[in-house]
Amino acid sequence: MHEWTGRLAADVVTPDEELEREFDARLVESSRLAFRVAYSVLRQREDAEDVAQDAFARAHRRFRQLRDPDRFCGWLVKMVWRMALDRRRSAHRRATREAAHQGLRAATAERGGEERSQLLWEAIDALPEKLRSVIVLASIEGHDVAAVARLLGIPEGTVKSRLFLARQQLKERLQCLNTDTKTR
Amino acid sequence: MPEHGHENSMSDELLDRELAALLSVEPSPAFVARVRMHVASQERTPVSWLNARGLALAVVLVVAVGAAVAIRTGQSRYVDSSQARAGEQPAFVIPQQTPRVTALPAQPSAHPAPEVLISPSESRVVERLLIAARGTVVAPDAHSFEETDATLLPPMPIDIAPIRLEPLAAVAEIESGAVQ
Repeated sequence: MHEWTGRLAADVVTPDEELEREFDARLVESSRLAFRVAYSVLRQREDAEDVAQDAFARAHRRFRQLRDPDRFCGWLVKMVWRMALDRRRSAHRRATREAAHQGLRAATAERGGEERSQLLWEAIDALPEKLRSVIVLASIEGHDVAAVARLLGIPEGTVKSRLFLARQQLKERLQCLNTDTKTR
Repeated sequence: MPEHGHENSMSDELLDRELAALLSVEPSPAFVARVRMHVASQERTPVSWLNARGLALAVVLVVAVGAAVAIRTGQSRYVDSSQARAGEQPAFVIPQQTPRVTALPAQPSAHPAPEVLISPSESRVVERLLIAARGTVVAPDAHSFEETDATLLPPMPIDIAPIRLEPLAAVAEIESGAVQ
């Protein structure tokens, strides 16, 4: 009897509780994705975590409309991207970041690996936003073309062409930056 | 990390590997827990959030109602003042050139006469009164004649006593030769 009532109690789950469970599952699945997308724009851990956290909070408020996993991830990626860009555009933060950026650059000029990362970031920053989002998402967690298309809500053909252009421009940019660095 | 200086022959795979390495940053271990706490804290404060929104809405409503009342009061004041101004001046102006009731010629005067201002009801009453009192014919050019519902009274009989003329005595005497 007790076993039966216990099972019944476990089966009786209010819709809100079910929603909370689903949201928690999505949070665990996509927390890394959200963080990395934010980090690709902001390049600061704390800022990236703040932005991802705010995006999850917004997603939680709208979770009834975002229960579909694909829809949730797509919405989350776009939201994180937009919020990160907004944060980055903030004049005060930009000034701080640039100061830190220059300090970091001076400090790491001698270290080969970090210098290479710096060049890569500069090349990514120089990309148009449409190309940047595609190449970043394709580079995070090994997303294939179809996954990136689903996340951004665009056709796979568009993703392919943007990936091609992004890679081309990255290579060219890296070559230029590398030449500049060597001549300094 | 690949060797530097290979950008000319850099393959897509190499670039992808570099990018993947660049973006393989992990959030802090407490990140998920922090998000959970943040979401939970948001869940606990919807009432205060609603209160804040409700308060803002109430303020907006009060301001809107106040503005509406102020506008209406301003309008009524305007109407009152215009009515007061209108009270100083009678509602209707009858120009001097078109006398209504009288057939008498207008008296020329050195000073321009003030405009006669009476209400329509008063003018009708005055017309009836004048017609009854004078028995005069209303001037045909008085355009308001048709408008009035005044009825003409039947003509009053005029008693005129017969005039008898006596022949002058002096003339009779002359004719008879009595006077020389």
